Amino acid sequence: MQMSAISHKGRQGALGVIVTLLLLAVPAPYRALSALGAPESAAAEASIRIGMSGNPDTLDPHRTSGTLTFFSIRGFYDTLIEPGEEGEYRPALAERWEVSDDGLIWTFELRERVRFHHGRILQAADVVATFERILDDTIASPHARELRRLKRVEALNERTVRFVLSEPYTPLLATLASGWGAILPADLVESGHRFSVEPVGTGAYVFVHWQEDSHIRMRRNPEYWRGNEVGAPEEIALRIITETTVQEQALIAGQLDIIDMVSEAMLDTLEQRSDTMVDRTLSSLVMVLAMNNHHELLQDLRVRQAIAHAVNKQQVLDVAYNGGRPVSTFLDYGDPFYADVEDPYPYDPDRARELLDESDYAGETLRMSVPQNYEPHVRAAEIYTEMLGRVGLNVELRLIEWSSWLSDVYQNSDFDLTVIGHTGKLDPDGRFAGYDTGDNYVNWHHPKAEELLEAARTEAELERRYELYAELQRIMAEEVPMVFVGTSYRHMGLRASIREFHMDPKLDTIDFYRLRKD
Amino acid sequence: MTPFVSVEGLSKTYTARSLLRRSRAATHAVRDVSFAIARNTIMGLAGESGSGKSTLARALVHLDPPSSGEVRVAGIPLARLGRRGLRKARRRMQIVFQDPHGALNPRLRIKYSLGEALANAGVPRRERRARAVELLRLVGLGPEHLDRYPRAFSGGQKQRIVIARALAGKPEFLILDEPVSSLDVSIQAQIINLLMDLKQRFGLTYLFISHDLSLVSYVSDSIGILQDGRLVEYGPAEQVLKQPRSEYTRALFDASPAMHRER
Amino acid sequence: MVEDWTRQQILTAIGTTLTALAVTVLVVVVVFAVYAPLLVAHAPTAQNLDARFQPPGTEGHLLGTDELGRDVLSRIVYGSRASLGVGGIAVLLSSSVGMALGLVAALAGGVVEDTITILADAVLSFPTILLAIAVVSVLQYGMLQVGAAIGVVFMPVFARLVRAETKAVREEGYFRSSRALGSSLLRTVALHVLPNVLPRVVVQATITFALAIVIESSLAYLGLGTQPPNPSWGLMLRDARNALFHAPWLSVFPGLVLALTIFSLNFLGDRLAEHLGR
Ligand SMILES: Nc1ncnc2c1ncn2[C@@H]1O[C@H](COP(=O)(O)OP(=O)(O)O)[C@@H](O)[C@H]1O
Ligand SMILES: [Mg+2]
Repeated sequence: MQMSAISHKGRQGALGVIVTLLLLAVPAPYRALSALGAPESAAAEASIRIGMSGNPDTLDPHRTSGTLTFFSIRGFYDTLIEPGEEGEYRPALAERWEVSDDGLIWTFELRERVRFHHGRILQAADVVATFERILDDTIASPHARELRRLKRVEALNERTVRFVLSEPYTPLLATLASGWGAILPADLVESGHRFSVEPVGTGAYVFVHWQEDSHIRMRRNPEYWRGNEVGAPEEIALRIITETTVQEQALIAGQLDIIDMVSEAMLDTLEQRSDTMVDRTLSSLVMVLAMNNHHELLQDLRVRQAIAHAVNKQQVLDVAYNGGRPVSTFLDYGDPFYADVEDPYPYDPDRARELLDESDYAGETLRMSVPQNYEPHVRAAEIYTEMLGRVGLNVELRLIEWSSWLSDVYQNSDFDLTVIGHTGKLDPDGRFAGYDTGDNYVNWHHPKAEELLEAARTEAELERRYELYAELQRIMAEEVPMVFVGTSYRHMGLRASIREFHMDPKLDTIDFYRLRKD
Repeated sequence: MTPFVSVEGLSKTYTARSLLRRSRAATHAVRDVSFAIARNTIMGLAGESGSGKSTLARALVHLDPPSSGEVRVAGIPLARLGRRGLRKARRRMQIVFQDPHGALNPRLRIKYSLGEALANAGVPRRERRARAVELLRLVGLGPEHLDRYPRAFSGGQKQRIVIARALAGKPEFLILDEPVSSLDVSIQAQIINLLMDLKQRFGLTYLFISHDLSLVSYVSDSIGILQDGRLVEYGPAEQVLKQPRSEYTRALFDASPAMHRER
Repeated sequence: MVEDWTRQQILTAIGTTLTALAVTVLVVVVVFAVYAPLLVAHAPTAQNLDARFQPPGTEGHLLGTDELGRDVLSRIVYGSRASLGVGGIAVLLSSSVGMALGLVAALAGGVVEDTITILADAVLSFPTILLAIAVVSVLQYGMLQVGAAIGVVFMPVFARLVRAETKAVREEGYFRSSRALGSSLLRTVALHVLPNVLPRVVVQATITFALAIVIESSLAYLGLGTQPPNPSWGLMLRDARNALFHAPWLSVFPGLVLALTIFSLNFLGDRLAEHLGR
């Protein structure tokens, strides 16, 4: 009968959903083990297998700002220059460079005998084609903006290339050293090659295959210009595994050599085991509790100070973000330009309550909008809610989708409070973009900011730039447009056999070239 | 004398309906039927199974609206009454359906089945029990039956209850659609006698429907014979019985076992 | 023969015991939801960052604490509110509107019936959980909204069920008799249709209730249901998934309560269906 058909269907539905729930909740690692299989176990010694938390949206360096893309393509490409430890830059494809006295012309001398994976020798024309491609409207590169002061790129001869600017702009070097400064071969750019699925560069590894939701494979480039020192793995495979637990179990089982996610719960285990270890590098993130400075309550400095005083930064970092270094300003702790300003509003709930009492706050509920898919931020938001509640500030949590967060919070500033992490930029100018004019999501504006940022942008001398950015950071620390909470650690799980593991926090990738396995 | 019930050119056509394809397959269940019934008389309606008797009965009281034609009861054309008026009018003309087993809701105690009809007749809640007992007495049952479910009764008893229920609104006109066909022969006579009694007592008018022409001829003042929805024979009982106009009627006589018995 | 008898008796005894257990589980869950504040020593959102991941049996925390040092027992007890609230709203909405639609379809017939049937089939052809996600995304999150979303998803099930039952009743002699007696449609429906339809609806309601709880949990698991820091069983499972090996009690207890509730509801639904025949 009709009835039994329906109830039957209904019951199966219920069971199906329960099973799905259980699958999600319980036996995830076992699914992973079978999914990983053993196809390349024979070649395991010669290859390194890395667990990656998701698919890159594309492999084209010019068409995205997705961090997974730059993680994936690091081995395929080189840039003209590379970032150093102190905010300076080191030669890469460019051996030498110089800037004219007026700061408008940058000239780069290319390295000799660098070969692309498809066999051609690197020439100045490749550099020109690369940057013209970034500026090409049909490519719609999110990074084209960074090159808006670039008048033209020109090849002076086969090995010399010149960048002509409309005004002095030191952060240009950061763009050249970033993942999206990857140099592509001119002939393939010309022919419309689909770099999004098949990267071709000059890097230490040659692209082999990308299977969505499964893996990206690459093999050693025997003709790499830096030379091929002994011991480099023949192959590197990036395994796409979205569940933390699955990655962890696969690492323990020896099916992965490196994993890019480690949960708080597993840190100890991985450290204590003799066959695994944890790499802890300071990330380039600044975690913030951001406030809408146009909100009628939050525009009152006392309320913002109260909120800052209410937050125990170290505790938030430890519980929500797996540890980290507290900061009191807008640059991440590891940034060469980070000014170690003493926190003007340290954790002090009593002071927070006093400040709230002095202010006009009368029990209104502030809404904290949090992107629902970033679990650490949700966790942090829960903690903030409790901490603010303890000093008498009512907060209501509201989880929203990432896309809504981008449009409502980030674009339209339609929020009271929010929790987010700001990613690192090679040049501080990138981080402060919009904070000179007031065109930023927290609606913060300060007359001094514009002046300082303009000066730093045109200043070529490193020491002077340190000072300018330090001054700005002091102002922001005092003004607390957001509570700058701290820089989290990036934890990667490694097999004990992994050697020469170097994380570059600013580029958020591994240095594949140096990576070794015993 | 104007007839109590008059039927003029009544037709009923069923068309299979579908949203997606308009089907033209139509069943002409009743075709252009006209007759009249005088007050306190019985008109018998006979015909083979599927000849359209039940359809005619339903169309007559507008339970299914007729495709065309007019029905007047006590001079009032039913088509003019509108939904609410029709519902009221229906209480004065009741149908007793063939199958007494299906006619009573098995989930309801008898008092509620009777209560429904009494409520329709506007009897206040307080008086319904007493009236229900009265109705049961009319058909030879008693108050002890009020609280039982239909399954506790035999077919004949159920039919009595159905008749009692039909009487709740003090109707003047009853359509009896095969009232005894599903009952044992021994019980058939009891029910027929009961119906005759009630007719005398309340001055009722009947349309008595049966596929059994002998039964019809036994009770009726006038007789109509339906064949394929057409009234092929219609007139006073004697006339129809003695001088049937159509072959069909003669065939029906021959097919009727009781008729042979009578001869 | 004798053996058959005892086997039959044993089966009956087991059935009765299970029914009693199922009823007990549901009563306990309802008591959780209604008397939550009286039952637990801790607020479900009260954090203690110095006492995180305490195992079950820890002084004052019978079922341990979670990653923010919140009492797991309190969260399970309070979490029943989300489940029952959403389930209740979903069932009330879907059964009442679905029943109305089913009745209208069956009684009106014609284009009305066709329209309702086509719409119901269209809705039913979507995977339930996806549809619920879609509706929730439109309505925004919150217990009322999630309940309403799930309610919308299950309306057609009731509409179809009630329509089929009603159409069957329409063909019954007593329905036709009732019309012939001159009863108003309302009276006919109340006396003859509803008593036939309601038992079916009740059985379907228990099944829907179970499904609604599962979907609420799934939505919460996906981050679309109950909003943290408020607890819901699904949300607890979600939060627990990265601590699966480290703090298994965070998954085990809410999972157990969820599973018991679902199975109890389904079991009772079955028993009820058996009891009502067919
Ligand atoms: N609701 C209906 N829809 C379509 N056809 C019908 C319907 N009711 C009756 N019919 C058809 O009308 C004809 C007459 O049926 P009916 O009036 O029940 O005959 P009787 O009562 O004389 O046995 C039959 O052919 C039957 O199939
Ligand atoms: Mg008939």
